[in-house]
Amino acid sequence: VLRRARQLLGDEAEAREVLHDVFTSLLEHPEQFAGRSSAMTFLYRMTTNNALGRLRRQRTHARLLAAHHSGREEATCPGPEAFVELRAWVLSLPEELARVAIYYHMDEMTQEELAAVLGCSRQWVGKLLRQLEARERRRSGT
Amino acid sequence: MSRRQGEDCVSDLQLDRRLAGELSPAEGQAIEHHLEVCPACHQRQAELDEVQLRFARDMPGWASRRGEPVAASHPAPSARPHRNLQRWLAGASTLAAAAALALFMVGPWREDPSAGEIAGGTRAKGRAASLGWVVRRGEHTFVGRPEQWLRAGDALRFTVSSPEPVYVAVLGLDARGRLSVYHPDRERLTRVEAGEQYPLPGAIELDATPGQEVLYGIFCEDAAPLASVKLAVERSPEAPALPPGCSFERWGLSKETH
Repeated sequence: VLRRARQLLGDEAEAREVLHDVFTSLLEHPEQFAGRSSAMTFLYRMTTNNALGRLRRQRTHARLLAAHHSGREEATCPGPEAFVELRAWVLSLPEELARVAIYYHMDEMTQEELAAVLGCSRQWVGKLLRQLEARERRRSGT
Repeated sequence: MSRRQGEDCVSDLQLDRRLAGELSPAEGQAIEHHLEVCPACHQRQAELDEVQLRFARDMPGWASRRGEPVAASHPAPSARPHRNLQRWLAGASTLAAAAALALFMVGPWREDPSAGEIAGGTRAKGRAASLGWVVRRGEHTFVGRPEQWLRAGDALRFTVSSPEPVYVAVLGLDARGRLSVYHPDRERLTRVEAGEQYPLPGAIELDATPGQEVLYGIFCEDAAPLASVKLAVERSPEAPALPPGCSFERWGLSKETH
């Protein structure tokens, strides 16, 4: 949880907040995990949702975009854990595609794994990936 | 934006599920074999191992002390420093005990010390201590885990995780019934302070001797005589009658067969 939160947020303090929130939430509401997926898959989903919510908060959003546009990134966890380009791009995507982008590009999940973590069919995953690819092409101008 | 790997590579999710023991033995073995031939995935696994070790070092007791607040980002002053993984491995060859461990795979049948594995006394208060190990293979270093294939030439260093100070011995029983002592190198069990994955001194190197091996982590409340612990395991490998205040866990090590 902490590792993925670091990757997504690029901020150690916020990543630890995610870690805290995820497990506090699970302690308070253990019924969230209904056993329909593996525990690890469930934790991936919780971490992604929590971190994405934080990313979308106005202050974080503004800071990241400003950093991105000024050509620098204020990440406090640089190195292989950082996903600077992805993080800024994800903020411009609709909610569902943002999750797909994270799972596909950051976690490098297969379509089967994507279907499991998103709770949908592989066919739907294929459709989402095509949408994501189209947005990538538009973004890169190709 | 390009992905690091192809569709046949292993995702972080799979690597994490393997670490959590969620995969079947066949799935774990398939990943293990893939890691052997895929430098990108091997590198990623090494990165995840490093993150795991860093977490254990930076947050000692975070996962082991129930009811306490989340630890600060730095080790508590009383915690012993967690040695750098690469540093111990640099000296591993001089420390190696050249133990006659077989080429093996760590089996999935670790026994739960909370389910009647305490013999001859009471368990230390709180959660039981546990044995782990770090593997060096060539230039690569990774955390040992169940269902992991090991090879001749691999160097192992044992680690202990315990919520409170504990006295430790590590023994190995081979298929011919020969008992080897991997730790300590003295007549009584030696003390390990509370912490996560604290490395024991020295390392062992694996040779190609065939056969199976069972590893024992022995944890006692005081400095029990090593001789009594050895005798207990030799007499009853399945359920050794250890001195009072001692507990054990054991790991099955199976020979790689492919």
